[in-house]
Amino acid sequence: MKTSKPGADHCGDSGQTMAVIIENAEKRFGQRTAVAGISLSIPAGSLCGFIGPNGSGKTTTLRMILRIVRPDRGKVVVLGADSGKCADHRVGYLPEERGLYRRMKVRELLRYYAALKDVRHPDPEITRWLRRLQADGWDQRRIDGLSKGMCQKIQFIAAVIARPQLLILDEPFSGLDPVNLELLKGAIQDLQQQGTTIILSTHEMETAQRMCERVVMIYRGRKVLDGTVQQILAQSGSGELRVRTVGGRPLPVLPPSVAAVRQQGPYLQLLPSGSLTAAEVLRQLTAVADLEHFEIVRPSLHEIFLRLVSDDAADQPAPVIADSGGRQDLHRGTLTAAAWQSVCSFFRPLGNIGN
Amino acid sequence: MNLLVWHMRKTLVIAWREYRAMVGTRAFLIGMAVMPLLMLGALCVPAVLSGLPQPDIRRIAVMDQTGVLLQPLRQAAEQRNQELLAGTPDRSESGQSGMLSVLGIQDRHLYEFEELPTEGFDDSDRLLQSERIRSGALHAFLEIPGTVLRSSGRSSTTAGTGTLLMWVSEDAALSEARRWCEQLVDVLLLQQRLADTLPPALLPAVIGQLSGPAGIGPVGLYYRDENGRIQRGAQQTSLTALALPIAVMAMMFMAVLLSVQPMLESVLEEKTLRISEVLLGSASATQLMTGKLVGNAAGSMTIFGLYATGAIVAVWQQGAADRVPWALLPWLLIFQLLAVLLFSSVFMSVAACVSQMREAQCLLMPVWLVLMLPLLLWFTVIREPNGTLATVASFLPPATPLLMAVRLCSGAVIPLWQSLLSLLLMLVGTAFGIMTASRLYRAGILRQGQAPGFSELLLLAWRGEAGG
Repeated sequence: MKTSKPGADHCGDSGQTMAVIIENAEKRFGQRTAVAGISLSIPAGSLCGFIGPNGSGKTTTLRMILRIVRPDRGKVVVLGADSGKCADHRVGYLPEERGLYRRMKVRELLRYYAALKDVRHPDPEITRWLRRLQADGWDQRRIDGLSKGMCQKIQFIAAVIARPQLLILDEPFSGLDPVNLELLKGAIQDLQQQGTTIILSTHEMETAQRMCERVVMIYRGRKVLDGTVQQILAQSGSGELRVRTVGGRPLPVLPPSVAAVRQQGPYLQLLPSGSLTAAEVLRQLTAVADLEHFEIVRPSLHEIFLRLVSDDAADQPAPVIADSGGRQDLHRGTLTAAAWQSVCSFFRPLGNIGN
Repeated sequence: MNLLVWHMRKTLVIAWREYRAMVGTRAFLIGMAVMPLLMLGALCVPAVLSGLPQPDIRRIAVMDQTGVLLQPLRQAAEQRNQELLAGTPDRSESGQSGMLSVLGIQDRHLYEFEELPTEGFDDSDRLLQSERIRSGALHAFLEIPGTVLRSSGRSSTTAGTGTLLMWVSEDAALSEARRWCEQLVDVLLLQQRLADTLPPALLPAVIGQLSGPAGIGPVGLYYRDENGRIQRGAQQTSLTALALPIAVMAMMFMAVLLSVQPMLESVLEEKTLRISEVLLGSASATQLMTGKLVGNAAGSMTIFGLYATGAIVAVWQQGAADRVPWALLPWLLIFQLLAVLLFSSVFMSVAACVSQMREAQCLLMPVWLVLMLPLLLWFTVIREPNGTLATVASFLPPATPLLMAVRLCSGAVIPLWQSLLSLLLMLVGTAFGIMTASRLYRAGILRQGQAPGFSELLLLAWRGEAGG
C-alpha cells in the first residue's frame, strides 16, 4: 500500500520525540470553560491513557489534538505541526460513539475513510486488517447489519487504515466480548510496538492501568494527574500498611509507630504515625508479634480516580502529580477544597505536598 | 499548489460520496418517479378520466316558458355530444375553458335535456327536481321564464336569484354545464330578439355577421432585432403561455425538494452518529461542507437534467420543439444551481444545529414557507409576468430562481436588466446564505443537547465557533 503524505512538507518535521505537546491550552464555549490551561506532553511511540469523568474536558482536549476545535489560548503541537497547521492525515481517530454510515457497505466505507486520509490504494490494507480482526467476509455487509462489537472493529480499522503516526482511541473496548477485547488489545499493542503513538481515552481504569505506560487525568478542565502508571501508583500510596499475624491473633500492644489500627477481614490495616518509613514500622511490629503478611497498601488507578472526582469535591486547588521528562515533580495545582483535602489525606504520608 | 490540489481532492472525495449516497439509493429512484406523479397527479387524473371512452351523461331538466329555447339547446347538446364522442375539441371554449383544456380539466360529460311542464311550476316542483338531483337522477334543472324574450335587463328575475334564468345543481357556481348553457342561451336569445325586430329574409345574414368569431390571436410583444428591424413577437400558444412555465417551475421545485431532504437526513445522520467527528478529524469543516454541497448540487442537477431530458423528448415527439425558447436553458440551469446551493446550505446548517428530525422540521418551517412562496404566486406571475408583484417577488433571492423561470418561460419579454439584476441578487443571496450556513455548520455540528432557538441560531451564526 502506498500512503502519500503531501501534507508533510507544510506540517513540519514529524521526527520529534514528543508526539503531542500542549502548552497552556484553554478553550471556552460561551461562559463555560471546557479546558483551563492544560499543559502536557506525550512522547512519541508511547501508549498514553486519558482518564477523567464525563464533562471534564477530556473530549475537548482530544478534539484540540485532532484539530476539530482550536484552543482560544495556548498551543497544541501534534506531530510537529502547531494549532494552525494540519496533521490530520497522520492522525487516526476512533470516537466513543460509532462514526459509521449505516447504509454503506464495510469495504466501501473503509475505502471512503482511507480516501479522506489520502490513501490511494487501500484494498490490501483493508483486507489485511479485516483478516487480522477476524472480520473476513464482511466486505459486502452493510453497517446497519452489524452488531455493536462488529461495528467497533470496523471503526477501529477505519482509524488505522492510513497507518497513522498518532492514534486516538476513545473507549475502544466498549461493546466487545472478551475474545474480541483481547484481539483489539493485541492489535493496539502491536501498533505501539511498530512506533505508533497511542492515546487511549477510557473510563476503564483497570485497562488503563494494565495497558498504558503513562496516564493523564483531566478533571474540571484541568490536568490533575500526569505521569507513568508506576509513578502515579507509587506516589498515590496512602501510607497505610496491611499485616496479618500468625494465627490471626490481635496485636498484643500497639507499637509507637502505629497511630491507628482497624480490622479488615483477616488483615489488620495500620496507619503509621508521623513520617516513619515502612521499614521502621515493620521493625517495631516484628518486635511485638509474629507476622505472616506485611504489605504497603497502594490504591489502584480506579481508587485514585474515584477519590479525585468524588462528589464532595468543591472549589479548592488540588495538586497535580506530574512527570516531566523523567523528573518527579509534585506540583500544586488548583482544584476544589474537598478534592484538595481528599488528595492531601491521600498523600499525607509522603509529607512533601501541600505544605 | 500541491496543498490546493490536496484540499480539492478531499472535497471531491466527500462530494462523490455525497452524490452516490443521494442518487444511488432506491429511495431516490422512487422519489424521482413519484414526485412528478404527485405534482401532476391532480392534473393528470381529470385528464385521464375525461378521456374515458364512455363519458357520463349529465341530465338537465329545463322548464322553458319561452317554448323556443329548449329545442335549440337539445340540438346544440346533441352536436356537442357527437363531437366529444368523436374526440373533436370543444369549439365553444373560451379563454378560461381553453386553460382548463390545457390542464386537462375540461368538462367532457355528455349533456341531455328533458322538458319540464311549464304550467303551475312552483316551489314544490323545484323541491321535487332538487330531490331528483340529490338522488342522482338529474344533474341540474334550468328555469327559463317567458319574460326573458322581451327583457334584456334584470328587473324581472326568477325566484329572487337576481338573474332572468335560474340554474339549480349541486355545483351550481362552478358548473361547466351552466356556463355552456349560459353562453348558448345568450346567443339564442340574441337571435330570438333579432327575429322579433328584423324581416325574416335579412335574419340569417345579419346573424351571420353578428355572430362571426373575431378570432383574436395571441401574439407576443413587438421588438427590435439585432439589425434594428422591428419584429413581431412569437405567436403564443397554451404551451408557451402555461404548460412551459408550469413544467419548468415544477421541475425546478422537484429538483430542489428531492435534494434538500437527503441533505437534511445526511447531516443529521452524521451528527447523531458522530460521523462528523470522524470526518472532521480528516477534513476541515469547510472541506466537509463544500464537499457535501457540491455532491448535493450535482445530485440535484442530475434530477433536473433527467426531468428536463424527459420533457425535451416529450416536446420533440409532440412536434412542438420550435415553440420552446431554448435560449432560456442557460438561465434556468444557473438559477437551478443557485437555488439548490442556497436551500441545501440552509437545510445543512439547520441539521447541524439540532439532534432530531423533529427539531429540524420546527426550525425549517419558515424556510419551507419561503420555498413554497413561488408556488403561491405562480398563477399571478404567469398572468402578469411584468406586473409589479411578479417583478418585485422575482428579485427576492429565495424566490428568484422559480419565479424568474416562470417569468422567462411565460413568453413575455422580460427586460434584460431585470434578468441580470435578479441573477446578481441571487448570487449575492446565495453567497450570504452559504457563508451564514458555514458558520452555523461549524458551530453546530459538534454541539450536543437541546436545539437552539432562533436567537441562539443568530448568535451561533455571528460567532461561528465550534461547539463543544
